[in-house]
Amino acid sequence: MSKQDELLKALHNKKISRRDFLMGMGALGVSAAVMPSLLATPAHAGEPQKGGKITVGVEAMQAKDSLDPTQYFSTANILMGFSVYDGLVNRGADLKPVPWLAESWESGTDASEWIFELRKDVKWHDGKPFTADDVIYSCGRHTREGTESPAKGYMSQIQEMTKDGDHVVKFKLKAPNADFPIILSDTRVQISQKGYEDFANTTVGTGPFKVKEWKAGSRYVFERNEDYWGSDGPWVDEIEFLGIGDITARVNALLSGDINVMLELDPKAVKLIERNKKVDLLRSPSGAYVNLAMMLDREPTNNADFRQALKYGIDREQIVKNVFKGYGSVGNDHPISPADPYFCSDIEQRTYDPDKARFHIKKAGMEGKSIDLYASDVPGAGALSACQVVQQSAKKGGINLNLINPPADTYWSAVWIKKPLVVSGWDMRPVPDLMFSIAFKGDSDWNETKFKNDQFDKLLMEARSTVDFDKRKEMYCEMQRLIQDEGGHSTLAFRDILDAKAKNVHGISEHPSGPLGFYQFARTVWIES
Amino acid sequence: MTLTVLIARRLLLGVLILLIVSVLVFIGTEILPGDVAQAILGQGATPELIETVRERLGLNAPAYQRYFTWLGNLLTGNLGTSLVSQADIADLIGERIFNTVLLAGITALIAVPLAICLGLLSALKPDSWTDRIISTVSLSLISLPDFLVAILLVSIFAVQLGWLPAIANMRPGQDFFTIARMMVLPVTVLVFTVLAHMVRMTRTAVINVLSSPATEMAILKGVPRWRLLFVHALPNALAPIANVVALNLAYLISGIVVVETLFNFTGLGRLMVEAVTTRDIPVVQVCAMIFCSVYVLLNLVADVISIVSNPRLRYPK
Repeated sequence: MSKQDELLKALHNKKISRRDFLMGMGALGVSAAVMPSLLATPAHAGEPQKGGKITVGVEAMQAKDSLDPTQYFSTANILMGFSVYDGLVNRGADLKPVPWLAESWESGTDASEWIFELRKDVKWHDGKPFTADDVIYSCGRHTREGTESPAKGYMSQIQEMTKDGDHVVKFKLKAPNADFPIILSDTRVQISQKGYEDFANTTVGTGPFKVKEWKAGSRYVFERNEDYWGSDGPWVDEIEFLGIGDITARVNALLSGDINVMLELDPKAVKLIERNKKVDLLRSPSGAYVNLAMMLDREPTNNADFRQALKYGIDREQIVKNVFKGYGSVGNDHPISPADPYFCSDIEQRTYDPDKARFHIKKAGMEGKSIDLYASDVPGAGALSACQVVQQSAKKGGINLNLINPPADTYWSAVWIKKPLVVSGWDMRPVPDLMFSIAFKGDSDWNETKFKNDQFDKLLMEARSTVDFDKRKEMYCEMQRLIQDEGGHSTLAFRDILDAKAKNVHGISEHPSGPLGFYQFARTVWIES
Repeated sequence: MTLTVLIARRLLLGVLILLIVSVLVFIGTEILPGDVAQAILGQGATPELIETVRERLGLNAPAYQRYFTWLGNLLTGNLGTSLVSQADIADLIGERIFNTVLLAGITALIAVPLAICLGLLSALKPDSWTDRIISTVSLSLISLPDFLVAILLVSIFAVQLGWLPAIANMRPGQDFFTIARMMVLPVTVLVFTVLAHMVRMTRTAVINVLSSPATEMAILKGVPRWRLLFVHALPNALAPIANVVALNLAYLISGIVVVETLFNFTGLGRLMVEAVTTRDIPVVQVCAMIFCSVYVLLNLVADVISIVSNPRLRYPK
């Protein structure tokens, strides 16, 4: 149990006063801003109890679900993965790396060499001890020949992995990277057993739950791992994941008690949950966002004045209020959210200004000209409605947007990074470096706006090898400014993560990086009997 | 022409239709934009990753070659494996077929006798109060979209009253009572959906027969009303009724995606829709073939019933 949890427990058991608690937290470096949320978290509503069964209604249960960490594709799939596996490094709610299967780490002479010390008390579900070989093998699966892992991009920076005894792994990187430990907290970098390749049945992991039944697309049941190494769980006897694709059906299933935790709530359904006394809303502000991508290399979005006009023509407040029902926050045309420690607060907030929009669209010579905007809910629920708000607010600035809703199932392949003006969306990345390298670096495959800026790329590389926080923040700040000024990116809104649970379910914490306690509720969840 | 020859001819024709359908399905799935590699990778699709996946799934072979390989496998009972999950399609389909047939079966067991009884009741005294009430109610039920009925029933009986589960989470090894409880709401919605069609057809067909000179003769002869209805009218009206029942049964097997979705029912309809969105072509093809076979078979049965019940049909004019 961490010091923080100890304090919380002491507070709830009335062993210490609220004042002592706040001082204790302050001493731990927990800022006053996050404390109310800690106190409000129903996670600490009492002493966790063992037993019971959790049935989670997830957004889909599909034939392509897999327990192979290199094959995860859906949120539900990652949730299941975190029940069975552990990562080497975990991610705190403050986005700092937390020791997990690795109990400590240090960088070598520079940030291009990292030495990880592993826990010695960890056992696989089949009883074998967990060792450095498992780490080297499973990390290597992301980069080996023929891999389909989405983590390949950033795992490729590893040049070599060597072990020093059974419990030390040395990573040699191709270039220095001060963020390497937090990158290992990615949801795909879960550690599977050495030599393990058949993930079809009762897959073995080190995680809080063992696979009881795994039938891709139809049934997923996990049972408590009695020999789990961690101390904050697991509590419940069994967890079952149940795919309920239809949002109405999922909410109904929660209200009727057929499930007791549900993933992904539509902002529109929040009222329904709040009105009902048997269920609670779970809400985490996050850095996940919906954005417009204007491609800089083609007509008409290569026109700087058009982009400027559109950026002034978006009523961001309206989008947050009407589309996300207040469960979100406005963006500032760069991908870093206020929840991120590297968020640059010096940049002035861009606001809705139809006059400025009109000025720029006139300058571009495109006033009233019909421009296609490809809008869809594929990048995230609410994206389509957000585009409709944009269409309305931009009209007042003389921008004439023509909304096109293309077929959903080919959105990523036929529209995204093909059409000049589309709506897109991204999940939060733990560090700015990842977001910048994936979506803004000049040579990235997923650079959706074809943003090419030498200074930006240079800063990216420099920041990567800079260990000092303040210096890095300065660089990242400059990069946020570059994207805001010159980029083709316009953030429509940061979305809160919304889930729901039955009243008697506790122990699910808030986390900006992902739903249900950064996908790891399985370990800490418990049921009040 | 004997009945056996007739059935044999129909069966042969059915096989031919299935063959044509298989070609159409294959062409249809080829025309779909995007392929399974892009569907699997989603936003993460880079040209390099797409090539890797395409290679692994054997999508680079020419279309006709893939068609004949698939057809050959199908004919030898090998349904193939899902491109997306690598699972055996026979396994994927097996459980869902059971669920779908169970749901369709229970619905049919309730809806068909009910519809025929109501239809007869209506036909007995056309334009009477009974007839009007039956017609109005059944037509209102079919006019309400099934998703609306489903949501209404769920919010009343599952969410408000808590009597029944909101979702039908079918799985092997459940006891009878659990399954029965889960089935109540979806079956009710489906009965509402298919009832009116069959009631109307029964009513019309029976009224038709009742207004024929033969019936008039029977009435004049003093045949009792029940005998008139069950011995004279119903057998003569059986052909159109059998046909409409067959159509509705086929719909219950293949077309209840909305109800399956709302009740989270693991059935064939949803499997096919999911397979289309993930471009899991082999699964789409097998589902399409199953649905088509069901239509062909049920129509054959309906025709046989018509012919048996009405010997006149055996001799072409």
